[in-house]
Amino acid sequence: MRTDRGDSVQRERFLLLLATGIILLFNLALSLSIEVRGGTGGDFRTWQHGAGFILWTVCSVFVHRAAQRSVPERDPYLLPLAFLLIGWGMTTLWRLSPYYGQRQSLWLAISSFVLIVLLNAPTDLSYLRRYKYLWLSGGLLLVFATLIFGTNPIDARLPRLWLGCCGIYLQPSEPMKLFLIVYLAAYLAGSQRFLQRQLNSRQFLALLAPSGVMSVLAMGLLIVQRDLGTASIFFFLSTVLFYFATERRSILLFGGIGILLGLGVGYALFDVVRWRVDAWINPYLDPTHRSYQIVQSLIAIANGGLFGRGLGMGYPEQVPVPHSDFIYAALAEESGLFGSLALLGCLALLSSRAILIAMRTQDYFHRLLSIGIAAYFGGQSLLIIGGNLRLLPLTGVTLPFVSYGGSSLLVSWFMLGLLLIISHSAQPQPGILPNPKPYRLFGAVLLLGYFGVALTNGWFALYRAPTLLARTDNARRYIYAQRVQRGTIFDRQLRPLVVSERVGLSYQRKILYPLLSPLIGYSHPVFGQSGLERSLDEWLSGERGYRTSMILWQRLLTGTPPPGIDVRLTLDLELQKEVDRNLQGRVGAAVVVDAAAGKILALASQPAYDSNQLSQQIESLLQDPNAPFMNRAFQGRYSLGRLSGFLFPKGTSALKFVELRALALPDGLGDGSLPENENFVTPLQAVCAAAALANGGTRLPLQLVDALSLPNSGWVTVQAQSLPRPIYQADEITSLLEGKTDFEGLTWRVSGSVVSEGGKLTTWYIAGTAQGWEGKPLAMVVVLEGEDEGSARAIGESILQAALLAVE
Amino acid sequence: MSEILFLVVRMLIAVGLYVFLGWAFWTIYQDLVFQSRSLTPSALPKIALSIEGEATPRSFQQLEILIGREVGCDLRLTDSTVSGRHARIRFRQEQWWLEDLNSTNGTFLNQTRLTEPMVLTGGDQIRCGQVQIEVANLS
Repeated sequence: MRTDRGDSVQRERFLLLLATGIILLFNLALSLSIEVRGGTGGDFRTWQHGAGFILWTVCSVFVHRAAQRSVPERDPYLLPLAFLLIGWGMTTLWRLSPYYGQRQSLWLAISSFVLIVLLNAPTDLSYLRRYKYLWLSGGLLLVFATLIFGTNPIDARLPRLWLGCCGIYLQPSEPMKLFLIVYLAAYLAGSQRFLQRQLNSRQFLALLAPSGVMSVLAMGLLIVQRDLGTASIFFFLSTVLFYFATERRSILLFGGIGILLGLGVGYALFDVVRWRVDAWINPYLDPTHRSYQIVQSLIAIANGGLFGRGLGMGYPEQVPVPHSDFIYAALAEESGLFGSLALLGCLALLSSRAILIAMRTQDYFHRLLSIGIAAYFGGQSLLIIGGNLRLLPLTGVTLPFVSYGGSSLLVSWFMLGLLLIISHSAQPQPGILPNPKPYRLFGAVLLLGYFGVALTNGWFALYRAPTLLARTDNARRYIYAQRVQRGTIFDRQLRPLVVSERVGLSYQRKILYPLLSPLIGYSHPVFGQSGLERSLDEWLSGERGYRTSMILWQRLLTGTPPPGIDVRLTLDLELQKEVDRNLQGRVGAAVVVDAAAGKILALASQPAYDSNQLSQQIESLLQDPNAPFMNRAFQGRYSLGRLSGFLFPKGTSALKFVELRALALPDGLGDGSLPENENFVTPLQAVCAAAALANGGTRLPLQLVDALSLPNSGWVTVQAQSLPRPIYQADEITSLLEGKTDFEGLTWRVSGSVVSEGGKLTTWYIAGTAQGWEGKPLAMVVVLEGEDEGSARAIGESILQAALLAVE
Repeated sequence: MSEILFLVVRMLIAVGLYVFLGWAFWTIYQDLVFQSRSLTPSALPKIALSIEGEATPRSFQQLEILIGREVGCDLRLTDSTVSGRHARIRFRQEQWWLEDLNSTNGTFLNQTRLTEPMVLTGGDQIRCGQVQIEVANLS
């Protein structure tokens, strides 16, 4: 209740000033976000939304002044609320696309002009009441015209609900909402004296019939156009106004039955309704097609979390139509639960002020008009927000004041003007309200709706967020992978093997030594991940290695994980190159290990592929009969033939000891499980046994990752998880190596060929250092497909010499 | 650096939004308190009117005083120059307002005929038809 006029104006000014500050901060955040995202400063884009802000400020000053002149006793909360909502929405539109931002700014200017004209017109609104049929039939005519002349400015295949030309489009169903409210309020106010008497149902229906027919006609027209959201809003508005005019509960009952009936008939007749209802009941059944929008909307809301990603830092463009139907999801992602609760608070306050104005005014027409406007603001907001949150089936209506759309903005603005005028002419002290029940009920239902929406938002933003964000159709995961610098992979001498290079705003993964691709794998936005990139992903992507508080802080600041952790491998790039050079043109694998430490010095598999060329070569690589994606060193299983007796003298059960599980070996590589046929081993399993022979009988777990570069602590060496284990006795080694060592007793080697059932030739070359060797003990394995023993021995010898040189 | 600034701006936005809502709700609450207080009988304003020819002034404690010849009027004047529902005194916006209800012979405040509601102060002379009323005391 206003205490006096001066106080009321001060309130409005203070709230408008606060709103100006908030919108200024929103614009500042938008400018900053472009910089935080890595864009260049001084870019025109960085400040161009400032024009929208200036226009917004000018409009608010002019509208405030005009209102001060014509309706000084207005409700002081309406204008600040509306300007806050439109400013928030407009900044979001500038953020989504400057095109929509510019157009919305233009429509704000037009709407403000219309509002000022409205405020200067006679404030008794009798012209609305007197010409009710003119307004209604004009509106119907416009809607009818869209059936013939209708267009769709975005896509001609979609429902054609717009009229217009030359870049300006009007959606007649929007003003139709206003005309329907005006018509129903005027008609029902005119027959008020009769409606509230004791009537029998025939008389009662006769009184309601004309307006009922008009409402049904309007709804039918919209159903023909497939504008079902607007049709349901019409139904809601008519039901509410009939209820207030007649004060009969049975109207609500009929309304409820009507909605259920409409939903049932619509489900049976219209594909659109069936899709929407199915997507509402179970969106996770068809998340890529029909419920794509709703699932993406929920993911966006989940990504917002409690504090939001900050304006300009989310990915609302992942949700289709974020500027109109899904603007609430866009707001929730970037402002978080805190922001969306504030938005809901503003909308709830707007609705409750409209109901309060209806209670205060003495004129019955004004009263019904205010109720209709409150129903429009409240009903439409709840319908679309509920749709975004999967609380209600999705309908394509706008969020008043916030969504993009000239017609919608104009109509909302006009309704706001009507509320200002009505609140001005209302008595400051409440008059007599014969039956306050409908007002209480309606207010309670709307506030309960906002409460339910707020709870649902909290449920998805907090409780369900981890599940939603982990979904594979959450594109943000892949975007972050490109936005955040991935850790570098080094060899043991800190020579970089794989780096993330900055290209524009994103990072591109590049392998500097492509022949390692079968081991290191790839991290690709389309093809996913493989190899070390996959098994080390938690570290390389920065999800692990930092303190939890650090990860949370980084997510709060930029919405992304911190930069990735660098990894140092045990590989020696020079030796690796030498091994690859020897294998060139052959099909096979070779592994060299430091037998005393269990560290893999070189691991080659040929033919290899180049992960830098993945997108260009994927088709031919997949069809290559030599399977270049397979890493033969740990994925190829070969028969040892007679060499099995040399490596595993106690029988195949000795394979159980070849346990390769060491920290951070890739999947499949570190897997020490026994092969189905125990005679088939991988080169890596073979080299593990050979290393034990070279190391005095003690088998060490093989290791490929040497160290991780952790924040604050530098390079931290990775410890193998399993313990060393003796598998050969000293005398056993002597007898095994007898006759296989060279003259000085420095090294030993064995080789052998196996012909498989399919006639394929596999040749092994296994070697290591013997007791006479005083340097670091070494072991190595070469496997070649389709090569004879002679060439295998030549290649093996060459690699062995290179390896001995490398460790010396 | 710009990240920290960005975070500060985001926090200010959140604070701003809740100050906006909080302040709006606070003022609405104050209105409610004011309204409920003004509706309790003890806080109701008092006005005393002394009518020409009557010894003691009549005291009222209500928001609206209807003056006229009809039975239902709060201040009933039996003079024939007074209309059935002649004038009304109402307490609005912390003040007493005198308002003519389309009476035949008019309502005068300090010898001026009323065309629109006027504010009353202590000692004002009201004339309804031929009846003189003095505002003796008001709060």
